[in-house]
Amino acid sequence: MSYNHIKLTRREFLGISLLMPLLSSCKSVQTNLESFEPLPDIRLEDRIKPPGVLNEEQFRARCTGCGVCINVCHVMKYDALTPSSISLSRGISSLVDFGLPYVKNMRDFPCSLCMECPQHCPTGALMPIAKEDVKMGMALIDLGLCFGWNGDVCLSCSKACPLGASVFDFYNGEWGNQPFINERCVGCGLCVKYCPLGGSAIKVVSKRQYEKIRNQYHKNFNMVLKMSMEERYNLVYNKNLPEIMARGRIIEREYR
Amino acid sequence: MIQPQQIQSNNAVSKSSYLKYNIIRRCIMLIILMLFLLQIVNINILVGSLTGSVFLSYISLLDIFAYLETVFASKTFTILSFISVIPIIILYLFFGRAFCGWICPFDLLFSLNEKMRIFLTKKPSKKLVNNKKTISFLIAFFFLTMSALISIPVFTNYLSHLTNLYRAITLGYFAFMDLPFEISVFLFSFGMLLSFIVFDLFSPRLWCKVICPVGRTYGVFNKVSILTIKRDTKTCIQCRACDDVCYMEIKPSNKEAIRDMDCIMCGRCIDTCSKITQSMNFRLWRK
Repeated sequence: MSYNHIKLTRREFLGISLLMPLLSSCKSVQTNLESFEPLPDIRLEDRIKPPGVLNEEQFRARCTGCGVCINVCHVMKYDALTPSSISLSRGISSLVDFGLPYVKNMRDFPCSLCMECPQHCPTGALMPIAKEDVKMGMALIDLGLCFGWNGDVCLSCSKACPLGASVFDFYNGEWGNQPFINERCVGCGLCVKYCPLGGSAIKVVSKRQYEKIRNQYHKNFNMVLKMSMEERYNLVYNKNLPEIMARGRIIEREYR
Repeated sequence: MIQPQQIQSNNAVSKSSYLKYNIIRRCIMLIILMLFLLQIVNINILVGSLTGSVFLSYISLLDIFAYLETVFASKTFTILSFISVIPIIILYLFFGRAFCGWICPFDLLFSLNEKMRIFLTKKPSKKLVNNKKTISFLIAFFFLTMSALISIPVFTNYLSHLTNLYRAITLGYFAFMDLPFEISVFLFSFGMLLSFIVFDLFSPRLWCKVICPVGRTYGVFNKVSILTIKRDTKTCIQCRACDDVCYMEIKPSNKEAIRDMDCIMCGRCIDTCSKITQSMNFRLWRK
């Protein structure tokens, strides 16, 4: 294939090449992945702290912002942690958290529970504890988007989970091998990364926020589980599957 | 009294040793900065920043003022953080306030400012100069009480020059490599860095002399440190060249052993003195 038919003067070429970054940034705004989040009703209230935080107040009091955890995470090539900034929507609570490490992008850079940052923290802000005792957050599956709940067998999340079988409950039924994450989840977010659905079907909320929304989430879960065949068929084929198909077309990222 | 001719001969001998300590000092400063920069290309000899770091992935080190702030903020004692302060305390029990002169990268930045400073310098008021020790202790205690009140290490987490320098470097690299980072934190740290440099342009070393509580904490070690700068009163000709070059303006020419809390052990007085007489040098305690 030749591009000889494209005739450009030097000035036009330079103009276009200067405009390209601008255009590409506009494009990234257009795609707006925010609208493809799982569980859109739940807005994240807290930031996900690194593993080893036993008590949030003690964590704030002891962290000096030295950046050992961030750099250790970078040396381990996970790059999950980054210092948190002030956000206007969360006001004063974000000012208190300024500069403290948190897991920003769980879709691309989740924590993998290597437990290196608590081991190296010089101030004891992150305490070296067992993987099972970590309390970063709680992963919630969007039952309307998960393949396992809509007539497929996927199991990607349970395979990615560093804690394995203890975290997942499976409800085998006619609608697939339905995974459910129980409260032993520590919220590392590896399942968020390895979910094959565009925009992921799993959302991680902090333990504090989970206490608030737990009843609502369990009610919804029990309702879907106890549905009759006909209701479920309607739900899956008329509501969920079109949504899943739409998300299949998102080219969201390249695996790193 | 030494005859002028004698001085001349001394001068000829010591030309090779001119700026000896200054060059060693700069080399050590750059080596430590390099070791910290190597962590971003996954060579982990020193990981972290000058506030707190991990040496060879086993020995954790923590700045003494940062330790004090965390103790005041958390109001508890943890053996973990105490273990990481011990190597630093031992190091500076030997070297005194050598951190400021030999390790802190801001000494390098501030001395780069020196040439531009000529037309901008404003002399600090006399009141400030006379009471600088009291004021700087008050500032350090202010930060400690603030961190005790709001349970956050205020200085180390928000305002510290060391934290902000390394945060800016790391986040700049993260931005370059398209890794997750917050642009506002980067801009804040970078802005703080710029403001330190601009502040230093107008008031030379005022940060080191009066404000910086990190250096103030290390300064206390000057009183008990094993290594000190001593002036040989027999050979000294009272030329006061050392007073002129001293960054911290502590007037070494009227002290025998420099146990001043402001001395940063930079050795500039020794270098200058070696041009004229060799009456000043680093000496071990009681020697």
